[in-house]
Amino acid sequence: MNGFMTVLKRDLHLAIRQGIDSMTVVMFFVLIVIIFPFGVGPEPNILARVASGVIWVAALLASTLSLERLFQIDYEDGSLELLSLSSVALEVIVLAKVTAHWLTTGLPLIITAPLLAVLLNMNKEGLLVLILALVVGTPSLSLVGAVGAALILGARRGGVLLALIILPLYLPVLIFGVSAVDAIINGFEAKAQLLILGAFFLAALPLCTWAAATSIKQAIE
Amino acid sequence: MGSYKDGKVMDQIRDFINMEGYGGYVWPSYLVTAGLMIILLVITRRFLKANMATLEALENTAKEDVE
Amino acid sequence: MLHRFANPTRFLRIASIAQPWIAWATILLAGTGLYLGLFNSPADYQQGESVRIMYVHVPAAWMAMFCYTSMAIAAGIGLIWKHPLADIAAKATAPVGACFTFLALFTGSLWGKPMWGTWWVWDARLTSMLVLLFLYLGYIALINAFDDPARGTKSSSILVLVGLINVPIIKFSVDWWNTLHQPASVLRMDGPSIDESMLWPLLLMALAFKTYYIWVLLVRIRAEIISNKIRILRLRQVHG
Repeated sequence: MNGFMTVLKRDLHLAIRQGIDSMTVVMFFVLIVIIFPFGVGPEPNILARVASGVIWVAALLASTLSLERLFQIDYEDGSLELLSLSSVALEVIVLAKVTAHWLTTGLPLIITAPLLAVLLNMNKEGLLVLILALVVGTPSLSLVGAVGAALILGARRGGVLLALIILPLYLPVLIFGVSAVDAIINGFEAKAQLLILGAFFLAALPLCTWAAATSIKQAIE
Repeated sequence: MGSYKDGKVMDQIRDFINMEGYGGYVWPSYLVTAGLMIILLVITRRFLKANMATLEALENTAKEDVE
Repeated sequence: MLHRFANPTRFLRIASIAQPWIAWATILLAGTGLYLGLFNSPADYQQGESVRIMYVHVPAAWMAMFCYTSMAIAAGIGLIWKHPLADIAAKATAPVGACFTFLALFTGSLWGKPMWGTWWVWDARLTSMLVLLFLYLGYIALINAFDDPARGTKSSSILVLVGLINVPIIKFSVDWWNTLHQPASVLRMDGPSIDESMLWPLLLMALAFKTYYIWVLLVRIRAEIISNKIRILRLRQVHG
């Protein structure tokens, strides 16, 4: 637990010191959503119809964008190897870094989401479920993404490669995240979708932590 | 001018190629499948042949070095 | 049993003996299958002659899944028992699998146009196949992205296993998504009632595709073993 907090604090400190990084991700997220009405036209009912999908896809892309640096910097300057030599298990380190990633990118996305929902003419019930779905869903994105970020350590063209291998794996989160909002807007219950998103998170937590730790282990061997 | 019998054979071939109007869908599926599989096989075989040649050349130079 | 074939040198010997047999088996099976499929099987009473696309489409779709499973098993063996031959087999399977997945999508599209009146529908099966294609492509991109081939092999093996857990989950979510969005009547295709005269060409073609896979696999594994030897020789020359 101590090791977890140490790594988490360290990563958060770094993120705050280079605050511009997570700000860029949020700006990217907002910009994608803002660009959409220019593509599909400003009719309020069309925007309301695609709102949840647009916000989720933008969140997916923003999360992919920020993941490349999750382990890369620490890998290049050797601190990842130092961390792995310490008494703290690599899995704990991964978990701490994923938590820091979610706090610096996932959480800001959730905070900006209401603003975007208003721009896209989403109603109040939809917004509420969207926030809930993002709260349950984005941690899974960070977890699955951490596996991708660990796999590409030392690879050429890491960023594009990461998007290529991670986006197909994001598909379940996208489907249930969007369908939760769609259900509530069309007058159904969204409980099932939210529960499934929760189940994804619970399954991803041990599996992705283990997979990411294994990939890091073989990267710094 | 083909004989009556030739004409019948031509008709049969035309019918076969036409596939009740589905020929435009059936033949491309078969051709692309065959084409892609053959291309993949040829590429893989070329890769093997190239590697075999390189290995032989390397082993020869290694022998010359020893001598 | 496994260890008898595990030694690369012995594998090279066995492979070069087995390869012509496999090649002839593929040609014979495909030839008979094509003859039965194109000339000696009835047209379906509902789908007419277009049903003949089935003889390439269905085997390709089967092989797309089969190759992914084989790749995952090989990658798992490579990761756990550090078996060089298993790693090579996984790497060699990927292009064949991607090729079959593409063919399944392509021929499916050509079959869909006359049957459903559209080249593409976001049906659960089609969509899962499309995702599978991207899993293959991601694997191929990842394994080739490293300067050190050993790193690429390990990374991509982990990716295949992560993908293997994900494939059923993706299938499940796409099914769910599809029941929400699918306009009910488009895809009610109960499949052609398989007559025995259609079953034979289908089975023969499926076998031909399988032996083709083994054929390409043997060639590719031989090539990769030799390529490893070349790398070692070059390193030795540089250091010696």
